[in-house]
Amino acid sequence: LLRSAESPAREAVELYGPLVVRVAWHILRDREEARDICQETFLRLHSAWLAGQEIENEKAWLCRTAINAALNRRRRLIRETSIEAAAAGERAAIDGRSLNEEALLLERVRQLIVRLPDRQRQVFVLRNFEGLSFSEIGEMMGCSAESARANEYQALKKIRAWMNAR
Amino acid sequence: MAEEMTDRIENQLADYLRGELGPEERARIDEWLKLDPAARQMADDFRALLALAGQILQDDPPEELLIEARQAVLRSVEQRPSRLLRLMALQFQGSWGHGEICLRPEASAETSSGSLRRGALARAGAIPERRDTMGQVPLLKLQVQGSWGHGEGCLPDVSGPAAL
Repeated sequence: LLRSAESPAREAVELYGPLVVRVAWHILRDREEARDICQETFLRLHSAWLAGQEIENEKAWLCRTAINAALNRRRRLIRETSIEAAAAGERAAIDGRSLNEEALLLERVRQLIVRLPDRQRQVFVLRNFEGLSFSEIGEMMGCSAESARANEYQALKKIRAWMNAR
Repeated sequence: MAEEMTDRIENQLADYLRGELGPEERARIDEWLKLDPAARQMADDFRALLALAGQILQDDPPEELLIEARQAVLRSVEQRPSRLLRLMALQFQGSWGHGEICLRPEASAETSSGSLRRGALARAGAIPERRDTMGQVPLLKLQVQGSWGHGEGCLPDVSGPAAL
């Protein structure tokens, strides 16, 4: 008996591909990088299946993996470019927009999210970048809506403190 | 108790700013903000942060990116050499119930009742010291566990991948 792991992979891509792409795009805002993260995330899922790993909530697993991979990539990109403002300017120029304070602030927020503790980071991204409710986030992360809400509050407090400390 | 209440109110500040609270909770936060200037400052800062995050939320990825990403993923999966798993389908039965398992050479297993089903992955562990025979056929006792439940059964003792 031969069973292909391609078919479930195809199913998962159809179901959750758009979500994974959105997560990666919102964190990285770079087409090529976002595509790479999407590919990496689904290949990890595929490898997990091949290894016989049990994944109860594929959506949550994919979201967590994509968020972490995208933020790690972002951290590396920041290190490589070293000047975040330069990266923001380059991206804005590519998009044909003028570089303004708002664009810089957006880049700054994206940059600070990388520094948040894991759970706070995931809740913040899912709530504010993906627009999920706290109930949905709680379900995905295996915690209560109340706990997800508290994580978002802590994340906001930290980002605020870091922005003010600048 | 009072501390718990304060935490609860603070946790709801972002929901308040998004306009997602009911009248009673909104009134409680209004009261808190009226009495506490530091809380008002925090609310102003959170409002600005949420507005920024809201811009990110509305920034949809280019449509072509979704198509490109989908194609890239499927291409990579198809190109993987280990995309096929050789499985041995077996039906088993015991006092605890019955079912079907698909063994892989590594003795991990997938199981389902009737048909293979993704998401019902299971593990089967062989217990070498608990061997038995049925006539001349050696049997291997297995414990199987998965999201569907768990159980124990006997299978003909296959000696490895070659026998599969």
